[in-house]
Amino acid sequence: MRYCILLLVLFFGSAKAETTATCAPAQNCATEQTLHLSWALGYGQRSNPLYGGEALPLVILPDIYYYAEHWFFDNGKLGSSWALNEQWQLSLVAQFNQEKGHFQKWFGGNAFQFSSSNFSSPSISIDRVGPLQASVREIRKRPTAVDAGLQLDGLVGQWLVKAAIWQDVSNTYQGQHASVGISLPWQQAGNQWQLSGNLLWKSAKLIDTYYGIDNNEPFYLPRYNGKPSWQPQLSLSWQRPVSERVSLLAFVRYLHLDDAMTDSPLVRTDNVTTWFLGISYRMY
Amino acid sequence: MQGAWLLLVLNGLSPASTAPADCAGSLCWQVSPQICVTEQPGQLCETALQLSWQSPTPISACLYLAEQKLHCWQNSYGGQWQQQLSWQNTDLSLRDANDSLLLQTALQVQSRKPARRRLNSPWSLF
Repeated sequence: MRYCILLLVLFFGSAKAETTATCAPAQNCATEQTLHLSWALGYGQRSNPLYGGEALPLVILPDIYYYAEHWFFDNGKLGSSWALNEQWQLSLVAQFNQEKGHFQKWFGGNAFQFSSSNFSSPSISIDRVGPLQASVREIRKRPTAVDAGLQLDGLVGQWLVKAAIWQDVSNTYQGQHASVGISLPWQQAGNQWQLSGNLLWKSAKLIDTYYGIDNNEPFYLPRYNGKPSWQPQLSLSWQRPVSERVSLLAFVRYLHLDDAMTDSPLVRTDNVTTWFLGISYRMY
Repeated sequence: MQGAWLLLVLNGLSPASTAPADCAGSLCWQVSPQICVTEQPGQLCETALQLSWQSPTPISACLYLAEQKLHCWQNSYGGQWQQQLSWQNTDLSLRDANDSLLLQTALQVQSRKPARRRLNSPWSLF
């Protein structure tokens, strides 16, 4: 609760902050004080690294953001920014932790599957996936967490640089995670490309909460205590406007999971791969 | 989005005669507006552009918006011109018969809602 109060104080206190850094056309610009909502229709998939977890089909995707003078909402991230100078911005940010998405179909990005099923009902009658493995169908429900943190965004030449550190403010997993990344956006013959590389770090408490198996789980499951995890990610996105409101788009993301993840009896694969190909329509 | 292009035109509500004069030697002109404010970045400014020029000696000259010829005068001591135009950041110039630059004024378009870099990745909800 004290974290929430601190968060609110910081958000309201930032009302006197400076306005934000300027934007070149290739850098994913947003117009201030204008709601942007786009829908993409197509097909793609996000893999699920867990035993018993199903890959998520991506058919309809939203892209929604609103940037006011001092605060913003962008695809689930709420924040308040200070322009340190023309190139660098520091933001106070908050969002739901993404980790639960692997465990529950209806959570976050999975909402558009219109399914309320989850894998949280423990039952000894469920088929075991193996003596040293555990299925998401066999474990307790994982918690929903809210993170708050600081994010630094910069422009170095043509490269976009980002660093962020997050703390659980919902007193759920009581841990942290952080990331650093660079992106190169470029335009070529009407095509807009962006190549990104990120390195994610997740604390032992985070990994333990979601991928650990302790004595509160069914007795027949193998035990696992979470360790800090390093996860590199590569992504490539492409967009080609065909009119003022319609664009073709595609993206692919590859997240590599290290031993701290794959050592968990819950984790089946060492990566999460997401891809999508479709057509988007900008409503606002 | 033709309907949302123009929110405010600086100098645009003032008669051209009250606009500040730009001079090159004894040749002067007044152009209005020189700054236009649109609602959003990238929008064209669509407004009535007006100007007048004066010269102590008769000259033949043509008016250009960037490289587009708008109007010409022959052996005149001065002239006035007004037309509805769409423009972005560009230059308005007066050139003689040899295409030599006599006068030039920058026309600026500024946005009321500035563009800024997004702080999350597009399509990143999943």
